[in-house]
Amino acid sequence: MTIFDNELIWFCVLGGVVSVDTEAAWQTMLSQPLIGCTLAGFIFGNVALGLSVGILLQLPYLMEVPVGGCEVTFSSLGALIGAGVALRLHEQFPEKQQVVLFAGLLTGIIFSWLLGKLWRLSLDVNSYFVRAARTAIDDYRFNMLSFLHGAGVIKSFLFGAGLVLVLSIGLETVLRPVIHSLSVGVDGSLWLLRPVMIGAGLATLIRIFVKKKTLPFAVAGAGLATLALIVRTVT
Amino acid sequence: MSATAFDMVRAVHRSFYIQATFTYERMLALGYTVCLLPFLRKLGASDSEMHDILKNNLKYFNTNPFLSTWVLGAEMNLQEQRLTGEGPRLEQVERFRKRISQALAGPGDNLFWAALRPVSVLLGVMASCISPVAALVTTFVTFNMPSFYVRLSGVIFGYRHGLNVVTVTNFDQYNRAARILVKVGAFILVPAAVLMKTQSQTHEWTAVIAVLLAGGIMYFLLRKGWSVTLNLLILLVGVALYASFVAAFSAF
Repeated sequence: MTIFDNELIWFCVLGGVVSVDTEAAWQTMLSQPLIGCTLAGFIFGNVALGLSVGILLQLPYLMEVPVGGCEVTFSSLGALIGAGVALRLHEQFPEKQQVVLFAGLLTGIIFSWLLGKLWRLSLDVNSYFVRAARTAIDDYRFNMLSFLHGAGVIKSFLFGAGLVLVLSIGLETVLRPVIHSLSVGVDGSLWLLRPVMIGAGLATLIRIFVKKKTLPFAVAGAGLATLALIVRTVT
Repeated sequence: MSATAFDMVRAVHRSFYIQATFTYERMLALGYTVCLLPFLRKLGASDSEMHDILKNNLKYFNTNPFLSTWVLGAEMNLQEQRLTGEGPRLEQVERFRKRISQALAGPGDNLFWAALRPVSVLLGVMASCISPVAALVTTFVTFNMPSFYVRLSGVIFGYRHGLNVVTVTNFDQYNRAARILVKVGAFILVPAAVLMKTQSQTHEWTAVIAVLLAGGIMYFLLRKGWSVTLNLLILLVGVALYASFVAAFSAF
């Protein structure tokens, strides 16, 4: 596998789209880890792993609500980078599934946080665009406004695509020897990873949905699920 | 009334990009101004009128992006009246814009970010048991159908009613919708968890205990106000320590 291949180019485009959907435009859920990571799975030919990383990172980060310009992590791009790392490493170490998943989740979480901090730089560029727009209005160059605003979208795309490119290659290069040095036995003992992450996700969902007023609905849903399980077992 | 269906669709289309130049100082001001620009041109505003309106718009604007079209539609109506010499003064338009955008921000965030997003993700997770494509389509459609409807209806109602949009529309309907969605989320939560469990490869009781233990820790720490990142890192460190302990023990 060469460093630059078609998969990586499409993955960078996806990174740009995810970045735009998160911070600049659309807000169509394309950027949510569940969708972004699954699409990454399609690109690298391993949808199951992409979907796994997506679900495992999506659920806990639902706790963060991006409202009023409050500071949150950049979980959409972070999760995509994590999925990319996992998918690219899995191509080289197919026998170490759990270790690769662990590497993907860990990088996803760390880079969600780091990119959240880096997002301030993007806002500084936006401030420059707004100042330029004020000057353009004073100079009666109203067409400049659409141009500057469009530049905001392009900036966001390049920000996402560039980060995904650099970090995917960089992290893969750093992690490859580490994973190579780990024995297959370690992979087996990491079986706890999925249950723990699913538990974290479910706890987040309970925190979001289950309140005093919604408790009867949760109990009714639990009753329905139990009934379905009994019917399934009997039949 | 001179706004055509094309003008409204164009305003909605531009509203999809309203956050492109978001800043903490002026929030969505430039995005909102750019949404309004084609309609102002169509109204034939002179250069000095355009200068005043755009400068005024660029001061500050913040609301929920999905509901921004309500404000946009109403302002299209007000600017049209103003430019034909019948409407309110620019300061009145500014005051109206400020009030309605503040009134819409809370309900919009409640509905789209705090309620609809988790529900559509949960439905997507359930659909992932069928196929990954089903997960993508379910999440995408369940979130975007309502949000697109709200965007489109917002610009139409806003433009039709102008200043009166606040009196003829009950914005609390969005809070009500959010409350209903949270109930739906609570109802499908356990079935979704059961579906995930039946799809997982491990059926041992230890896995169930791990889910409950990790869930309990996460829930407790979230209640304490710890960040999601820190919680997840703690859990991953726990998993790594357990794995290295088991690996070392079996080697020994």
